[in-house]
Amino acid sequence: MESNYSTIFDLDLEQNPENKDKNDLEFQNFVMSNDENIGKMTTNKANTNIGSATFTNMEDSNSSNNYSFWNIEYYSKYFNVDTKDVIERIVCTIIPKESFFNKVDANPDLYGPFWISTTVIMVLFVTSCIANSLVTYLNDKKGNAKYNYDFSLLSFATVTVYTYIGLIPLVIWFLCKYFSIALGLIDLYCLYGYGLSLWIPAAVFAILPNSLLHTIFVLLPGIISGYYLYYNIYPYTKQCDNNFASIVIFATIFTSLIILVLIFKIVFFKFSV
Amino acid sequence: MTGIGSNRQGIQDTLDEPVLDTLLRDLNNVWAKMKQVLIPTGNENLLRDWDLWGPLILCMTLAIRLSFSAPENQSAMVFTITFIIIWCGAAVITVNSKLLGGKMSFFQSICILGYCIFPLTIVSIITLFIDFFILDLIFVIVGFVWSVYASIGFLTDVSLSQKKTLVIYPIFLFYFIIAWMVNIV
Repeated sequence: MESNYSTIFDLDLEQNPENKDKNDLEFQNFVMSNDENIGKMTTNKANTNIGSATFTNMEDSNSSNNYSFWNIEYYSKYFNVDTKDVIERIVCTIIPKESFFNKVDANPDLYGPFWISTTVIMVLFVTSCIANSLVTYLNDKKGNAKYNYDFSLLSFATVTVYTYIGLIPLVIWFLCKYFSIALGLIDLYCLYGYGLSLWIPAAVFAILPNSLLHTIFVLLPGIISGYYLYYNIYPYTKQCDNNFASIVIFATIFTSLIILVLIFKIVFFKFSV
Repeated sequence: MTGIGSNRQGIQDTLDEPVLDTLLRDLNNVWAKMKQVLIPTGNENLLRDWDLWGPLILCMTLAIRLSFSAPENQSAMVFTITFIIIWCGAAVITVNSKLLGGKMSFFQSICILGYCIFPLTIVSIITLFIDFFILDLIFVIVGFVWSVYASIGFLTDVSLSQKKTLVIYPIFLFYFIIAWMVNIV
């Protein structure tokens, strides 16, 4: 009996330092999460004046925070938009004269990025199909050429656009974390996803069988979206007075954008007489 | 061929009936749902008992039909693309409407989206026998509008008045890409 008691006493001693460690860890986490939220909190205060509206928003985010990362309801806070919001955000990216993050206002969504990139894939496939058959028809004087559609364009467009939209914001987010710039991952996905909406009208011009027009309508959205990304991300890189950080981040942004534009030009805007 | 989610009519002993009867009853259920999609103003509760046999049959028919007249070296790819678009597309649309706040169950939504391909499957078989571009195009447009109209009728959720367009747009995109593939193949 006595020996049993002594073992219990030992266990208590062993557990105590563990508990201390756990407490330390939790405390650190708490502080870090506060640091991350500082930017968002200030924008919230600056932009929302109606008390009741902010209150309901906070309730919403609390209730969705109760779900775990693997639960589908966890993500519903990123789909908390209605039709008007989505249209306003798309307009804001096509005509970039107001800061996109001001528009989004601490409520970034993933609806737009996903469906806009899907739309871009389909529009690119459809228009390059039309352009290809049109060029075949125009080149063929006898009028009996049989044109076969190329379905690899669809899978190629899917891989290109989803890779661009999935990978580049992640890389930039890592860079921002490294240089301690306060930009959230979902904010970057939102920024990049809505940025792609410019390519939907541009892809329609791929139908025109003229390589000069193709170059114009690939370069124009490329330049506008480059300006749009610079205009929206620059205020954040300016905050940390590290020149190297902004050079690295913008080099990544512009290199990836140029590669995307080149791929579009070579693969989808190539059918000309 | 026992439907996964289909309710039996009352409690009846199906243990010692011929296999043919069981098969026929399930096929009849599938056929009733397909007719429901073609004439969407009938008994809307029919599609509440979901099954995945109907969507599978329709999807296979469409994929085989499209790969049949695809360019020679691409028939396997066309089959794969059609299959992936139909199943992954239906799943993504369902998740999307759930995230926007829809209340419909996952498989029921997939069942409805799958059954609503039926007009496009019919059109794809009709165009096999018609070799005239404009006529084909008209048929495909009619089938596309029919599919979208039927699926929206079944899937509209009253609680999502502000987000209705956001739910409908992916459905539109889904049938649009299927219709486009039917059109060009």
